[in-house]
Formats: sequence, structure tokens, C-alpha cells
Amino acid sequence: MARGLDIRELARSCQEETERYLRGETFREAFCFELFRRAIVERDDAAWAGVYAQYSSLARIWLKARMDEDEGVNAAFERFWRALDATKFARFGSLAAILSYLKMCVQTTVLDHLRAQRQGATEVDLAEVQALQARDTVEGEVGGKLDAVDLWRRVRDTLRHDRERRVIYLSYAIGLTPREIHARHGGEFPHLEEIYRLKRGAIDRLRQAAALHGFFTASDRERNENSDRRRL
Amino acid sequence: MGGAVEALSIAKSRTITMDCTDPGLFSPERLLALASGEPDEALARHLRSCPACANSMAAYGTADRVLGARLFRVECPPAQELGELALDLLTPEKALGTRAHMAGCLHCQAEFTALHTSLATDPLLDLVPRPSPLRRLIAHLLPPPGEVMAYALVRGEVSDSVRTYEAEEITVSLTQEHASGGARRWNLLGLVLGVGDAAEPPTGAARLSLRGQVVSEAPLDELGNLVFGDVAADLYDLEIALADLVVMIEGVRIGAPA
Repeated sequence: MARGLDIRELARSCQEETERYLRGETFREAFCFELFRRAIVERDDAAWAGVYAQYSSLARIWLKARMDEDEGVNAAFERFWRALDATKFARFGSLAAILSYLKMCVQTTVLDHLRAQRQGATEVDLAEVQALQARDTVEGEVGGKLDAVDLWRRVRDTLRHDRERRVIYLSYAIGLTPREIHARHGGEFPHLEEIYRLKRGAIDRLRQAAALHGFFTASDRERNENSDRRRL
Repeated sequence: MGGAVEALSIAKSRTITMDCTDPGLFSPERLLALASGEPDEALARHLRSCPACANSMAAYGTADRVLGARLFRVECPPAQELGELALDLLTPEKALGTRAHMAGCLHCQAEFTALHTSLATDPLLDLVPRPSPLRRLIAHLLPPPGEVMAYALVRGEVSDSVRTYEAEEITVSLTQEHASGGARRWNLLGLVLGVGDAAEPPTGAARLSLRGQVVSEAPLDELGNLVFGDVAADLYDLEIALADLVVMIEGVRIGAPA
């Protein structure tokens, strides 16, 4: 029945059925499901507009004001749109399954926003380092171009011992202090002193590595310049 | 050859404190520990009179900060991958890899747990209007009335006496039955009614929480019934959100008393 309706009728029926659901009455989900199907499987723009009109307010509820509402809702719908195609849609057997996916898109948009905020906070600290790296014509060339994945690859290549790599991973990729590593991974690292020894050795090795030379040279220069400024 | 390179490397690393005013007194590890926030009064005093060590400690601090800023969560999968795992939409191979990462990553574990909990309930329930926090009522337990017991018997094999709670104009009757999922799994059945013969059954939704975490949500049907299926035995809180108030029932024991 729903398949025979045009988009306008479909959108209206979807809205009416949703209101019935909210009143605790028997609810037919076929209209809303079909609206989603046309939007995703048939890539029908009018159906997509209907989906947005019907569910953007729900997406705002899911957002829980954890980021700018318009930005968050638009990003989540875009994520939803990009992630789904006919094959993936075929795995959804109900409206609840589709809406769960949309809800997941909203929530992961928020999570990515929070991850980026955390990253942004540390980038502010690094602004001076990066400025120095950019100014450096020789040594800074390596460091300035490194993104996180590149840097991590070089770090792993530079560290030859598994336990050093592991301590550096737990320290920086997971963000644990040596004491936390000891507390959480005591079976693997029973002695706090060893964690410090491995970490110190790894940092020294990284500071001396040609592949990372500019990265730390710039950092050291920043530190020395700051130190000079303080003395003045 | 490898040993020589290693020795050279170690020697180079030691240069970090070679200009120390009191060589050998403090190890580089202690400098790093202080830079990492470990208290060390003796070293702190030494640093005030030893520019070389102060410089070394600052170098460790900077390296620590730079690496932390650039590498934090560098191996974490995108949040959407965790979401698709929570919805069981990843391929088995991908799911295995994501779970393997998660086993060692507290950040992804926390994000996954939050996603999994939130996505376990009917997403449309979130549209049900939440009442003002000013009308939040704590229900108290009443002696079990016979007519509610009769209702409960209609819903299946009753393994528990009916407990009836009241909060102003609302009564909530709860009973439980064994779920098919296992000996320690239960279904919690409820009936929410307004006081008075002419009162319409309230509409809304109910949330079951365990130690502050929502474990399940269920809508009230048109007669005011609610069902939480396949719940583990434990002590829960039940929150029933109606149009203009929330009824809280604390300490709902599901399963045999401990």
C-alpha cells in the first residue's frame, strides 16, 4: 500500500502514524519505512527532504545540545546518507532498525566532535611548535609534514623493542601515565621503574632518530626560546 | 655491530645529563618522572641549581607533550565503526579487529558502551515528551490488590506476587515471570493506571535502570501496560515518564530475593 503513494502522501502518512505512536495507539510503520527506502535506495531527493523534515527534530533530541544543533544534525544526516546504500538498507528489517542507524550517526557525529575538540585543545599548545617547524627550512621539513598516522608509523619503525613500542603506545595513543600503565597493566609491567626506563629510552631514541629529527628539534628550539624569553 | 650501535645510542641518551652539577645523583628516569607529574622534592631542589638538568627535564616534558598531542587515539577506529559494531553491522573480520582494539583501549570501550546502551532501546521512544523535573514523584509500595493480581495472571505464569505502588494520582502494579532465556532471566510486567474509574490510561514510556545506567526502555501500550522482557535478576530502579510527570520506583527487585 505504501509503495503506491506519492512522496507527499507518504510523508503525511508517516507523520500521522508517528503521532499515533506517540499517543500509544497502534502504529503502522510501513509509510515511514517506505519514505526511507525511497530516499536511500532510490536516492529520491523529495523523499530525502521528507525524511529530514520528519526526523530532524528527533535528531536534535539525540544531539542533546552537545554541539551546535544545525551543524550536528546536518553532519549526522550527511553521515547517514553517505553510509547507506541499497545493499546496506536491505539489512534493515524495520523502521526501528533504520532509526537506530540514524541515531547512531547522530551520536557518532557528537563523539567525533568531542574527539576533535580534545585534539584541538592540544593543538593550541602545539601552535608555537608548528610555527617553528614551518619556519625551519631543513630540519622542520620532516616534522612539519607529519600527520598523526605518519608520525606513528615512524615512531614504530624507530623503536626496535616491542616493550618500548608498547609503553609508547600506552603512554601516547591511550594517554596513560606510567603509574596508570603500572596499575592497569601490572601483569605486563610489574615494575613502575621499568616503565620509566622504557619510556625514557624510547623518547631518547625518538629524539635522535633521523626520520623524526625536525619534529623534536623544533620542539626543543621552542623550549629554548621560551626559556630565553623567561630569562629576559 | 648491533651491540655497538645500541651502546652508542645509550651513550648518546646519557648526554642529556652530562653537564649536571652533581653527575650521577639523579637518573634521566627521575627527570622524566618529574616531568610526568611525579612528586620529587629532592630533584626539584636540584633543578633550581642545575640548568643542565632543568633543561633536560624541560626537553622530556616537551617531548611528552608533543607526542601526546599528536598520537592520542591514533589507532582508534572512527566512532562510526564503533556504532556499526554496536548495531552488529560490521563484517565478522572487521568486528574482530575492532573488538581486538577495544580490548586494550579504554576510550573506545567507553564510547562503545555508551553507544550500545543508547542504541538498545526503541529510538522512537525518544520522541515521547519528557515532563518537567518539578513533577517527579517517588512512588510508595501498597499492599497487593486482588484485581491487579487477576490482570497479572492473564499475562502468563506468575512467579511473583504483585507489587502495587502509588504516587499521587498514579498507581503502578508490577509482577514478574520467568523468561524463556534462562533460569535467571525474567520478564517484568507492569500496569500503569490513573486513579478513579473514569481516568484514561496514561501514555508514556518506562525506563529500567541498574546502578544509574538505563538498561531497557519500553513504551506504555494503549491500556497502560508495560513489559520488560528477558531481564537479569538484580535490584533496579524504574522510571515511568508520563505526559506531565515522572513516577520513580526505586529498588525494584527482579528475580529471587538475594
